[in-house]
Amino acid sequence: MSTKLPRILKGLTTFGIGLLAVGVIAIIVLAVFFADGDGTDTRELIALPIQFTIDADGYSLSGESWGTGEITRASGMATFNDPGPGLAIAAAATVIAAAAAALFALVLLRRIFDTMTVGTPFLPENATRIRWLGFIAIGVAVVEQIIEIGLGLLVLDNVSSSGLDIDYHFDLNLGAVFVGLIILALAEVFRHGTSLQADSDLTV
Amino acid sequence: MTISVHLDQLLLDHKMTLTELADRVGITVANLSILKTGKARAVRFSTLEAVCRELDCQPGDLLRFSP
Repeated sequence: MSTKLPRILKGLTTFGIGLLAVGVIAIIVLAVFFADGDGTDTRELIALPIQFTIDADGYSLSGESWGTGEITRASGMATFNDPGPGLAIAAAATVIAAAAAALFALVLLRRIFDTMTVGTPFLPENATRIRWLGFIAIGVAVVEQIIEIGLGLLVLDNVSSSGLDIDYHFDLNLGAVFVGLIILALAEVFRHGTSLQADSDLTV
Repeated sequence: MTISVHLDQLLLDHKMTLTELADRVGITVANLSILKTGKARAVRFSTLEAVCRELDCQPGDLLRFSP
């Protein structure tokens, strides 16, 4: 097997791990040293995806082959500049959890590429690592959805909006779940491959 | 494992080393060592043929089934 591509990919994952670490440190430093907490800070501290209905009379659509239409629902990001400590901690925990998941995935990928640079990738550990990658892909999508629903409900219960009728609806990232399932299937294929490799290695 | 390999006894009988046999049959010492220590999962007919030819034995002399 050519070791050039795995080496490049290993280098990229190493770079990604470094970048992620620097990003997380930068976020923590910014949060600690630049958050003044007196309400004058205008940076967005929490951003939530929201859905809302809008006044159909206010906006119109038209196209030569489409006729006329109206916008009745829209989505956007709600940003809160001065959240309470509970929300800020929840947001920080979410960011840290997402960074941890990304870091774990990158470390797993790096180890897989590492085995490719020194020999065969068909090792039982790699099958387990690929399986974990599948779980991460599905887990992140599901947890993200749970958090968004939770925070969305929190917004609905506690935030009053003027001019917008905010609601929330189920929007699971099915693409990520599907990719995760494919990765899990590949992990099982890989596990079978490792078994065949072991048979091959112990055939004289 | 119920199949035991008696390569060491055959080598002893023929006063041959594992390295020498490896050279004669064209198999690496590492692979022959796997066979000798009973770690092998499978033996190719070509390997069996070469070992039996060089050690002047039958497959049954190399492999034994112990119920």
